[in-house]
Amino acid sequence: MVFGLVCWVLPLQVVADDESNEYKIKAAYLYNFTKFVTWPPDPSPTFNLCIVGKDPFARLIDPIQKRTVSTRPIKVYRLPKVDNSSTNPQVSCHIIFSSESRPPLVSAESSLTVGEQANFAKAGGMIEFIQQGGRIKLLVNLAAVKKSQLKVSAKLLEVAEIFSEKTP
Amino acid sequence: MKAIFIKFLAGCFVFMLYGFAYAGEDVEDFFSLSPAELAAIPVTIATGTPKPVSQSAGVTSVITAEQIKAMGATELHEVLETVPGLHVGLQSSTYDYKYIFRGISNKTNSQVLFLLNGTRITEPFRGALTTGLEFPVEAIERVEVIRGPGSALYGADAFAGVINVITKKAKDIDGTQVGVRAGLWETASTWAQHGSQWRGFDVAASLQYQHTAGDPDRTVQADTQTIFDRALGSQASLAPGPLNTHFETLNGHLNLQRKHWDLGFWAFNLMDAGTRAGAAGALDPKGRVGNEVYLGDARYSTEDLLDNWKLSVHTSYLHTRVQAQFQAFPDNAVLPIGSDGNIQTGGDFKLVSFPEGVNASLGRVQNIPSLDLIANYAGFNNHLLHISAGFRYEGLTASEQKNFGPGVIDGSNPVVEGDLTDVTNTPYVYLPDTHRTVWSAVVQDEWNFAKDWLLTAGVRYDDYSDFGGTVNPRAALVWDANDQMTTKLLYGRAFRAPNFSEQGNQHNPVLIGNRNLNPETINTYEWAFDYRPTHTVRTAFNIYYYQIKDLILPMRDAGQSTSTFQNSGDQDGYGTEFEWNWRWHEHWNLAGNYAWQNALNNATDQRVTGVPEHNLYTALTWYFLPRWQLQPQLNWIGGRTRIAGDHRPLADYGTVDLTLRGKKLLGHLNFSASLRNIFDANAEDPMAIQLPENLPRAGRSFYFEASVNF
Repeated sequence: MVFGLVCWVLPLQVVADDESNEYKIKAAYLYNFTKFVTWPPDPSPTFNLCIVGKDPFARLIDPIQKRTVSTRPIKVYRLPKVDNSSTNPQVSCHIIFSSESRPPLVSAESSLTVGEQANFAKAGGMIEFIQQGGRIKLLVNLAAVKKSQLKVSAKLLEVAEIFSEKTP
Repeated sequence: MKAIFIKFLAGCFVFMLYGFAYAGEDVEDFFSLSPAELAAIPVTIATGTPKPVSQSAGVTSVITAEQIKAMGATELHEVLETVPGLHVGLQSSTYDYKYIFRGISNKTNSQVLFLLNGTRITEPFRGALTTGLEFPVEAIERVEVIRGPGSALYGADAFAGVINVITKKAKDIDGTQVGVRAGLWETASTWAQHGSQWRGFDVAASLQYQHTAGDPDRTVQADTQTIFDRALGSQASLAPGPLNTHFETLNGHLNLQRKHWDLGFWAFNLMDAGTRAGAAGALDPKGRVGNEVYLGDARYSTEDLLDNWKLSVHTSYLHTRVQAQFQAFPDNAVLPIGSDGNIQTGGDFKLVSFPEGVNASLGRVQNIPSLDLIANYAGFNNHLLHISAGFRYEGLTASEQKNFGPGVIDGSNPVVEGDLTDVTNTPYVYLPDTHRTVWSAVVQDEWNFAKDWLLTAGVRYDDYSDFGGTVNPRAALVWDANDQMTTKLLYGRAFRAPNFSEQGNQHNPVLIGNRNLNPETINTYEWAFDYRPTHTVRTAFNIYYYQIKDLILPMRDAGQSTSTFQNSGDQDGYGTEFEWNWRWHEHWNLAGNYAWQNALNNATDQRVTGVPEHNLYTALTWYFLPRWQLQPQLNWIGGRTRIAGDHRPLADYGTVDLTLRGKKLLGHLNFSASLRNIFDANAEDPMAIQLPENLPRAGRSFYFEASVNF
């Protein structure tokens, strides 16, 4: 029954060309995060998705800007780097995506940090895209999330692996 | 002609949750998927080239909470009337709503399966929702509708269509909302919803109260008692007079979710309601109906135990209780009573007067526990396998008190008082206590056999303890021709189980049950297209053909005034559905659909009566200022025919509604105002032949609504 449900809430065929599907799935995850993560209130008129460093999405993620989070339109920023002395201080990033293995050096109290390189979560990033069982899944560093002001829904955690720090 | 239509099946397509207006790009399609769905898309890691597999093998419509608010609907039937090819009519006796898909209609709507969050909530008594159950919409996150057969996955009664109501979860509510609504006819509603986290669970809770006095202008000039008055010279009828459509309800949902677990609890209480046009078609202002419905629901699923396997357990318990006290005929009725104490219009009868009316109190309790074990396997390349096994128990106990009928009177006394005799636990009760068990098994494979091609094939076996086994297969071939065009070819077989009333009705003056009924079956063929020529336009088109065998119908008993349910008659139907959505400007959107169907009763070679040939819905939405919208909508129903010899006209009608809505004003306040049936269109529903008139629908009304989020 559960699976039947999953079957039919998926009304549209999603067969697409091969190369970019990986990033379409990742882009869709990023969009999903806006629905399953709660951010603290802030005055920004837009919901800001910052892609830091190398941009593996190219223009593929741009249609996300037609969507909104609550009433705020989503805006994609491509930044060379983000840190506490940001070169772009007027942008407060709600989501920071980095294709590098180390999470951006921010006091990420109100930014969701997302990465795709191995050990991103281990290095303190909040969500890492991992490939597992022939699928793209999520590895969540709960400790990093708990240190922030973000709340991650249990429904998202259900499909995620939880990274646990092996304390010595 | 039939052969041609068998080839030209139809299926259709669908409103997406979000991407409706933008779906020309593939990435948009992915945006509409949930994390669980994204995590289920296989990618071939060896080559680094991900290959998505799609699952949709049906003809679906999805209506979101946002769309429900935009159309100004406050009850579920208003939402469902906007679905292509679906018309909302009235059941007999209870006058509950019935959902007519593609011209398929019976007295109790048992050809439609209702699910709540994926769990079956139709009852075995009449194969319908509990009497008096009408969902308020505030707790609904979305409504998913399959137009067409679903028995290969869902089992019995997924025959003409499946309606799945999905309630709001913690993230959908996110905080607290309280709201009130008030309008014409003492209509009032208030609700509170809360979504948050608690001890690792996402928790969603909601409670809603609703009340209405009903439209006092829904009047009939004559009723069933009028017919007896005319024949026998009595003056008992309360017609002309209004239908008794007042009701008062409470509806609550609780949902807890965490990794692996999804727990739901639902309670609905019809605290008080009128009997509408009356149980026997005679106006009954004294009658009262109440019900209680409880559903507990638990799901556990894990992908951690075995590689490539997703294992799930789903268990649920549905408990319903209905109690109705009513006057079948009013005070001072004089009726022809046979020797069995029932009303008898032919043969040997005596005239009996009922100075305090013909009264009854009916009750029933139903318990339906179920268990499903589900396994999904993704270990084969390009295949997704679904295997499941299920068990369901359906049990009913009935109670009855009355001042007429077998075991109470025998027609020898010319005057019968109003005192009720309890026939519960006697052979004279309207339905003996009944139960049955259902075992089932499902196997299905989704095979992505070539780029852009997906074949879904599955079969379900159900074994009923009363009528035996039934096998229902389906197959769906989906081809993404290019970025703009998707096409589907669908076949499905479905069945409807005979319900307890059809099997066991007894001592009823009109309808008698039959223990030897077989299920109704339907074979459906569909061919569907989805065409998205630009990012702002989406259209969908389908044609379908179906054949129904062994329809269960009441057939007149020779020389009697009763009818007995028999497998009798076949029905064929074909038709087409067309949908459009055009977001031509940032501030303007035009959506709608048109459906045409031709359903034929093979016994009479006439069109099926009382169902619309044409069904048109269209809505124009204007988004203005940052947070306001205005939506006028039109629903037009045309081409309903009456049964032979019935000359009461059944006119086409169109209703227009207008809804103004402001969202998150000052950050927290939502406001809406809606004018319903603006032009006071005179819409009527056909009723069983013994009622002298069609039943009028509600006239023009309005409401105001405000809610606060914090």
